[in-house]
Amino acid sequence: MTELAISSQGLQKIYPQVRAVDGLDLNVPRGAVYGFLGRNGAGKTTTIKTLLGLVRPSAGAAQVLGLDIRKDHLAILERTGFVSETKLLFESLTARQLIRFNRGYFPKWSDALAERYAGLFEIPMDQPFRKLSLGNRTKVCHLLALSQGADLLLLDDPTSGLDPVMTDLLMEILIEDHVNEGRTVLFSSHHLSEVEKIAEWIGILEAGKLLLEARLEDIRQNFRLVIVSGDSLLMLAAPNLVFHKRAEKFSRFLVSYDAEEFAAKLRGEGATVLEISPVNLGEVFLGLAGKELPCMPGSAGTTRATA
Amino acid sequence: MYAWKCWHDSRDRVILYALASLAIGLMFGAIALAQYHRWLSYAWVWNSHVRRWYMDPVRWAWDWALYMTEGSIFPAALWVALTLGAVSVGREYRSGAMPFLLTRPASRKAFVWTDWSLGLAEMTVILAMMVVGVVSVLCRISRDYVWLSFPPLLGCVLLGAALYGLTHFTTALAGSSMKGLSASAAVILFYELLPGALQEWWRLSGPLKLRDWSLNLWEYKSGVNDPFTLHGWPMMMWLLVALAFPLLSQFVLEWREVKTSRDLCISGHVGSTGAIG
Repeated sequence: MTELAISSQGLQKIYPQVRAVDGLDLNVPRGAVYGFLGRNGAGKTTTIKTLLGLVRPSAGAAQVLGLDIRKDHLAILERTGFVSETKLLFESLTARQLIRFNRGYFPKWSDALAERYAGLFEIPMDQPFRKLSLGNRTKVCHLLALSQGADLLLLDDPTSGLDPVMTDLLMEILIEDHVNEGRTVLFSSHHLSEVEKIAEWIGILEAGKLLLEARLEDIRQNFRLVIVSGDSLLMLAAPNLVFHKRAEKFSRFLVSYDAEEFAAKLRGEGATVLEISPVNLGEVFLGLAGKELPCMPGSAGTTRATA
Repeated sequence: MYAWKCWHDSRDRVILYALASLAIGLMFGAIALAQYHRWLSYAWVWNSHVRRWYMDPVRWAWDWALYMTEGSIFPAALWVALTLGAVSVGREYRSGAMPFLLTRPASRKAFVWTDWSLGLAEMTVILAMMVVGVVSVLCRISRDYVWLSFPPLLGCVLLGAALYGLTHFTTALAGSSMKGLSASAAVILFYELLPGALQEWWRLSGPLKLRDWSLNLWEYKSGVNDPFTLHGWPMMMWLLVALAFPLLSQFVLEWREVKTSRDLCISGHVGSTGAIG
C-alpha cells in the first residue's frame, strides 16, 4: 500500500447555508504532485484550510503526513508549506523582512534556497509587500513556502498573477527541487494545462464531494468516452463507469477501463455506439463538473471555460 | 519572530509617543522648577504662612509637577491604549494576512500573548517617559521625592493595561483596527456615561459609586507626607480586568475560523470573491 501524505475519511465542513466539504475521502500519495481541481466554490480552499487547521472540520477525520489534523496541528504546520489563494502577507514588511520573520519558525529553513528563489523569481526584495504587484506578491509567497524545507506543499491557486515564464519556472522548481526530493505537492488550480503538465494524480471536487481521484496516466491510457444513441437506455451501474450524461437521444459515458466491453453491453441494450474516444483531463473535468449542453455526436470534446 | 514583527509595525508610533511624553514631562518639570525658584525669591512667605503646610519648598515643587503629570498621564494612557490596541494581532483578519500568520507553527496563544505583552511594555515605556521627564528636571533640586512619582505611574499603567486589553480584544473580535477601536471607544463611553445616566433617570446611585470607586486607583492629597495612596481593591480589580482581556483575545483567536474570502467580503476588503472553494 502506498504511503499517503494526506488522507481523509468522510471529512465534512458544513456552514449554516452550505456544505463546503461533504464527506471527502482524499488520498494523496507521498512524493506525488496532486492536482486538486474544481469549479469556484467546489470546496478546494476549504479542504486545504481544514487540513491546515484554519477551519475546523464538522465531521470526519484527516491525516497529514501521518499526523492527525485535530491533535497534531503545529507538527503539521512545521512540515507543511502553504500558499493561500489571496496571496496576502504582512503589508508593512519587505520580502527580506518576511524571510527574517519566517525563517525562525521552520527548523529546515534554507537561506540558500531563499536567495536562489529570490534571484530566479526576480523579486524586489526591499519593497514593502503592499507596494508589490500581484505577480510579485505571489512570488514572495512561493519563496517563503519553498524555502522552508517542507515535506508537503499545499498551494492554493499557485499561479495567479504569474506570467507564463514564471509559471513555467515555478512548475520546474516544484518538480526538480521538491518532487524529485520525495516531497509532496498538492495544488488547486483552474488551469487544466498546468495540472496536466506536472500532476501525477488528480482529484476533481464538486459541491464538496470528490467526484474522481485518479492517476493522470490512467486517464490518458484507459479512460474512454463512449457516445451512443438510442431510446430508453438503461442506466448502467458498471464499476468502471465514471459518469453518464444524457441529452435527447444521445448519451455519453465515461468509463475508466474496458471501454469495448462496456460498449458491447450498450449494444446489447439496443444502443448504437457512435464513438469510443480517448479523453483528456479537460473533457473529464467538464464531463464531471461542467454544465450540461445538448449532446451531439462529435461534440464530446467541446471545452468551455470553467473558471 | 512575531515580537519583532509587532515591534517593527509599532516602533515609529511608540518612539513618537515616547518623545512627546518625555517632552510633556520635561515641560511640567521645568514649570515646577521655575515655580520653585519663584517661591525661593519670596522667602518671607515661607517664614510666615505656607511653611505651616509645607516644610520644604522642594517638596512643594515636586507636588506641583506631579499634580500636573497626574492630570495628563490618564488621557495619555487612554490614547496610547486605544491606538496600540487597535494595531494588535486581530487586525490581521482585515489585512488578509491571518492565514499566513496562523499557518506558522506557533500556538495562537503565543501570538496573542506576545503581541499583548509587547504592547503593554510599549505603553509602560511611553507613560514612564512623562514621569522620567519630570524626575530628570526636578532631580536637579533634590532626589528625595522621586518615589512620589511611582504611584500615579503604576495606577495609570494598570488602567491603561485594562483599556489596551479591551481594545486588543475588540480588535480581535471585530477583525479590524477601525472596528475594534470604535467598539472599544464605545465601551469606554458607555462605562463612563451609563452610571451617570442611571442615576439621573432612575436614581440608581450604585453603578455611579462603583465606577467612582473603581477609577479611584490612588488618592492625591496635597501637603501631607504620603500624598499618593494606592487603593488595593480597585487596583486588584483593574489588574484582573487587564489580565482577562488577553485571555478573551486568545479565546477569539483559537475559536475563530479563517475563512479568508468570506471574512474579507464581509469587511469589504475584497468584493469579488464570495466563494469558499
